[in-house]
Amino acid sequence: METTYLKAINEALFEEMERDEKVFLLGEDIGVLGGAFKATEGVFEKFGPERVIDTPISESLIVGTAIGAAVLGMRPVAEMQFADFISCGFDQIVNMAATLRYRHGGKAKVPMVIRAPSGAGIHGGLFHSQNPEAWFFHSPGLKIVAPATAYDAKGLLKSAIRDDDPVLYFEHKFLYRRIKEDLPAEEYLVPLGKAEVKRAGKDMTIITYGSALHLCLEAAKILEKEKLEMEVVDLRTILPLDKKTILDSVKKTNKVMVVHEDRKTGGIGGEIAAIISEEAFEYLDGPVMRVAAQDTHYAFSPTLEEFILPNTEKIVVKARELARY
Amino acid sequence: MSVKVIMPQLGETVVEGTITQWLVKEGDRVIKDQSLVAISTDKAEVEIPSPMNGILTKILIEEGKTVPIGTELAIIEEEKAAPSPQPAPVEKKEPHSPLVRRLAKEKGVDLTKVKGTGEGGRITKEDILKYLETQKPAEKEAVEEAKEEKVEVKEPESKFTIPKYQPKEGDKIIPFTRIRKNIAEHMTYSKRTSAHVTSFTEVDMEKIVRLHKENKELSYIAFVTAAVVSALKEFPVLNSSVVDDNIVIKKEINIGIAVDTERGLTVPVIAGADKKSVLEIAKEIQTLAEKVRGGRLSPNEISGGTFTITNPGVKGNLFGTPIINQPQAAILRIGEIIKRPVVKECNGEDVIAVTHMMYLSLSYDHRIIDGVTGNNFLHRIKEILEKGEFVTST
Amino acid sequence: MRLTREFEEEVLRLYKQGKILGGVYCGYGQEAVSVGTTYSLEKGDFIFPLHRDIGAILTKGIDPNILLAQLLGKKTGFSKGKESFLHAGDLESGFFGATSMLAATLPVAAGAALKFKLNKEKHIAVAFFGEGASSRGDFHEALNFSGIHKLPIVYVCENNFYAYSTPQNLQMAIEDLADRATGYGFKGMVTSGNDIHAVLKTMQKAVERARSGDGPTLVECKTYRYHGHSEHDMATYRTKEEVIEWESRDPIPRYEVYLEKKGYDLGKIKEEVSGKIKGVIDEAVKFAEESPYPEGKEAMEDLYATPI
Repeated sequence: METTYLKAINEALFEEMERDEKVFLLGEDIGVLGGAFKATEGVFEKFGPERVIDTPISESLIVGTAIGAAVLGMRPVAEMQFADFISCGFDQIVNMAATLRYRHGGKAKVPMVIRAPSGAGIHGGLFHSQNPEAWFFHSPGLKIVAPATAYDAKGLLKSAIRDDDPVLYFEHKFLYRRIKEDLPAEEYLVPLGKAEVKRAGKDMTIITYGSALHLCLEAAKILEKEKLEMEVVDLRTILPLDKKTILDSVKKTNKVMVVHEDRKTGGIGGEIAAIISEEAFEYLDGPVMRVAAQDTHYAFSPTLEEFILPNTEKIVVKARELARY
Repeated sequence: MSVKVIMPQLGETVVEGTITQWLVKEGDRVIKDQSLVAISTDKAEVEIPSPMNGILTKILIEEGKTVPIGTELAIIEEEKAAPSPQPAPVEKKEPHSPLVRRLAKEKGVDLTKVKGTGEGGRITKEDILKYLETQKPAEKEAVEEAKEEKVEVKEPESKFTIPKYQPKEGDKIIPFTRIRKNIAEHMTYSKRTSAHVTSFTEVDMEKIVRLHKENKELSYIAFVTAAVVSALKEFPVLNSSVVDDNIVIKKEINIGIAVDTERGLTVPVIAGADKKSVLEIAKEIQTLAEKVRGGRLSPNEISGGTFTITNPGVKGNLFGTPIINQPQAAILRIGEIIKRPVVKECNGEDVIAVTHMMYLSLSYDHRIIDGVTGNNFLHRIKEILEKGEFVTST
Repeated sequence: MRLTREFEEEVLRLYKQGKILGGVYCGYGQEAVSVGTTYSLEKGDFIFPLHRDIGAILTKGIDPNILLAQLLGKKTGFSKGKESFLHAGDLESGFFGATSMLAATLPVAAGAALKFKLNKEKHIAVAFFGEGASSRGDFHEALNFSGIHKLPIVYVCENNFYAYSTPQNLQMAIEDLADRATGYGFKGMVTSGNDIHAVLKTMQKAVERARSGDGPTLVECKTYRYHGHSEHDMATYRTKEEVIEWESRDPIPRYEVYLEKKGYDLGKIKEEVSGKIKGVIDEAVKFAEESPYPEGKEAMEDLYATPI
């Protein structure tokens, strides 16, 4: 049956809560309302206030409480209503959660998930459009995932909940209702730490994640007509990066570009480019290029948003440039 | 990074070139396009320009040596940080991508030879891969030629020397032209390489003289050429080359006719002479001779010869000992036609008759042609000429 | 209490010898609070101590050997050398490690308490903080949430009037921090932090309340630290008179007076206790000093429970 990206997340939550009574949810407006985006619709009705907690507006508390409960054996799935608000819980995430196991000499763990609707394209303005993954990217002790398809959204969330470490789960809100696919009826998981080649090709590699995947696939269709066979690699997990899949693809095509919606400077693309340059230099027949959002804030007006964000055309142009090199 | 200077191909059928003179020496700093070495082929004299800035670190082939196309002649190395006042040379070429550099290194490709189709003339992965495809046969050849060269170098050098003549006042000093140098080198090379033996025979040219009178277009040399071609068909080893330890008997019969010019000896070639009538041959010789005098020969017209006929003229040319035109196996020299008293048989009795006689001198490579074969071949030519049976029409 | 004090004295000695790196924060003078609050807790209860609460974790039952090794940065410490001091935790012994971000443990403590509630366990959480930490947002968020859900938790404030060099009147506009509890819907109690009995009594009430499901209590212990904020702080921001005044209220001599009044043979008790303590400390020193340092590459371990 065709399931939207949003419904896939909802299904994952239902399934995991049924499967394991230690799983509980907490966040703002997730219970009675079913979530600002309806991601948790129906869960409160089914599992009650003891497993679906409507919290005050306290991101630090939400994360801290999740940590405390997780250390003692529960599996909380906390929600940041918008990923933009994750900055209010920053300290708890990077200094408390990410370090806890380390400080306890490996004798404690924090099996929690923080879900955060991220991403732009919905005329959200500065504080409803952010892609905060880069801030947490260099926090050891954390894991970060960013599914781009409904299939991956469900599979990754289930895996994240079952994982014993703190996982930041960035669900791209632009994709919520815009993409859907047939999901298997039987249970499945998508492993953390494994990228996937969404489209095989021999001429050039695009490495991407999140909503940008769909732009890249569209671009690949256009470029195919120009005899340019693009290979599109969907990272799925951002931390840790699946270096093997990335480097294998680079060695195959010898030309690579990284595409993400997050800003260019300090975005994950820079780290990927550095890794490729360091570990696959002799396989490069051209520089590693990047397509990303402009280094400015996510402005509100549609003309500004259009200028700032990557789109299919910008990707195509860059690919042609790299092909010509 | 180092780059090899190689013997270029200066004509489609040119197979070798001779190093006439090195214009730089080992250790010299050179700049791009600077002339490094003068080479000559049978036709042309060319100076090879440097492919890049750097130091000429090694000269691989000495002056005077004739080597096949593609042979490495020298090595130029990129100059490291220069302590000298000369400014560091600017690399004009596009930087190569890491992938291209690695492939070049692994496969031993000289990137200066690869055509770049990327932006700005950059060499791309496709370019180098395509280049590797085309290089496969050439590589083998180069390797084989290199082997041949090695054999030569091993020749023991003579310790005997004569003090160089010091020109005195009043002496005229004429510096070698490229062609002169080439000829000089070729001659001594030929003598050193082939075991020259020369046999002689005299030919009664009465019938040929008569044929010539009937049709002035049919020149003597054309008749001789036609006779040689027939004889070569019967004695094919005279139409061969020594390659390593092999006798390569050639399928084609391309007769070179040596022509003397002011500048020196040139040998235009009548290709496929075995397929041509005397008249055709005569006409072609005529055309070629004119081209030679006019300096309009193309490289194809002076290459590919399998046997050479030389006719040095009608003065002081009774007979001689010609030098084989390498890499052929034999050469025939035509002497003057002189009227002499000759004993002939007439009606069963010996009589003396005034006869047009001509000496033929055949030098052949005794490494592969023994005396009997050489003599028989020569005799056959005589027979054909004396019989006078030719296809004279076109 | 004596153990705490002696232990800390040993720590100071070692610090002065350069064997302890980093900062040392003494709870000298606050022993009654640390000990009194933790004394009656049970196994399964969790405490969330801060930097001045060595007494609390000793009382909770951790091995002094390991604690000293932890302080020396040795491999045999709680965090195997990865953290100094009390940022480490030991779930076995029932205490959570803190971070340097004061009051950040409070929401985590609330999380532990939430777990006890959701699972209907009889355990409670006790979270410590200084009056200065209460200025942070996490304090508000944690107490607010705890009040809403009547979590089984006791918030213990050690009010020693100074947050480093900042006196209380620059930290808050009120006299008694316990008053804030009303704003969160639960009870606040003030107690004399240098009187072990007072602390014990107050704490008992708060623990009762938490265990019975009546929700949190904010217990404010008025006390004083004799040393500076840390051992490199000369505490010139306080007057000598103030310090002397509080020294007269030293909890240990105070308790000794009590024992005498009650007719115990103080001399004998002191001798016994001293002997025991000396033994414990000597062993701890030996253990800690003989323990190895961790290897450099161990810095990369213990980041993930399920490494990928």
